[in-house]
Amino acid sequence: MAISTADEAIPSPGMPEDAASAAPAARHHYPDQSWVWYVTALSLALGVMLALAVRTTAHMNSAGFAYARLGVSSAVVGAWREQSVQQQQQLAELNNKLRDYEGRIDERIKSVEGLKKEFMLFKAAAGLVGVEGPGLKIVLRDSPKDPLPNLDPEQLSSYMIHDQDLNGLLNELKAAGAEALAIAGADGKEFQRIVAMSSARCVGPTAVVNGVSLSAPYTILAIGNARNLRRALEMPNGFIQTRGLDVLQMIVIEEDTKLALPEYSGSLSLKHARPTPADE
Amino acid sequence: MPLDVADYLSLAVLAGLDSVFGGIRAGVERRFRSDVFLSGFLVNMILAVVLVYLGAVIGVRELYIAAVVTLGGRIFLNLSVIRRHWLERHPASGQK
Repeated sequence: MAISTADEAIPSPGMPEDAASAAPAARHHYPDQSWVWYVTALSLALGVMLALAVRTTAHMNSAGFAYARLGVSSAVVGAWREQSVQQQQQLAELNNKLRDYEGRIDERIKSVEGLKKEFMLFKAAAGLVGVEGPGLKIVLRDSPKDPLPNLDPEQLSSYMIHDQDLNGLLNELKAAGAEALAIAGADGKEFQRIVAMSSARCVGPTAVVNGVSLSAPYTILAIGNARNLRRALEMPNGFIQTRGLDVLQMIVIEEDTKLALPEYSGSLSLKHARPTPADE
Repeated sequence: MPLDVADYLSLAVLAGLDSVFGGIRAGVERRFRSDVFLSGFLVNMILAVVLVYLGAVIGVRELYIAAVVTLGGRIFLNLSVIRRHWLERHPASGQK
């Protein structure tokens, strides 16, 4: 009669336990204590498995599967794993989008910086910020020479600087490629930047530029290619010769490698002109 | 340790525990047989694992409860028998 472990475990119903234990002992002739070794060996194996199970359970608990004991089948674990993979993909996609947006923001910042630079260039060209650079320093003064005798009033007036001299000089400099112009009066310090709306007008003994009265001698600063500017002024039959400024010693031209011009200080308000809407 | 194996391992441990207690009981009853003990240990363990796997496959996840209840009940039964044998061999002083 083969007895399985299961059979051993189930007590025979209605049979006194003494009888059940006494009969097999007589039938088998195993050494009395040999079973202890078997049980010990298997207990050791069981202990290893138990340790593994405990470790796995602890691992699962720490990984957030606290409720996931035997009730969760491997299929469910697989589904979770799939979900995790999907979520990681989503995460990667979102990260990519984020990087994309960051790149766009960088581009926008760059374009804003470009606009700022362009804006500063516009302002410099319009005379709304101070500028510096090489160019000419020109002094216009009334002639130090005594007028020749017997001159009519018109010829006499050419011994003095007039607004047409100033405007003519400024125009000539602009035509010669001057990029920034400024003019100061007798003090030679308070420069008025010449902008699109500036003009020089004689009012009595003074010239009014940007609403500020200036008196002779005038100092004009022109930023540009100094040699070109000078040649344009000094060319035969040019501005200086036709006006006789050189003969009457009314003009002094100096080249300077670093002129500093202030910004336009007058009003910028436009009463009539409106920007034309740009067609795009 | 992969998580999939956790379920099977737990039930295998339970089956092993049952076999070990069954072996101790057989030992104290002096009818221990090594072949029965070893085969019972292995077969019970495999059976328990198969039961869990079957439950996962056919969608009756609770099938493992059958194994847990049966094995747990048998462990208690074996323990009680072992206890009685122990008490018969070492009777309390009052019962002498």
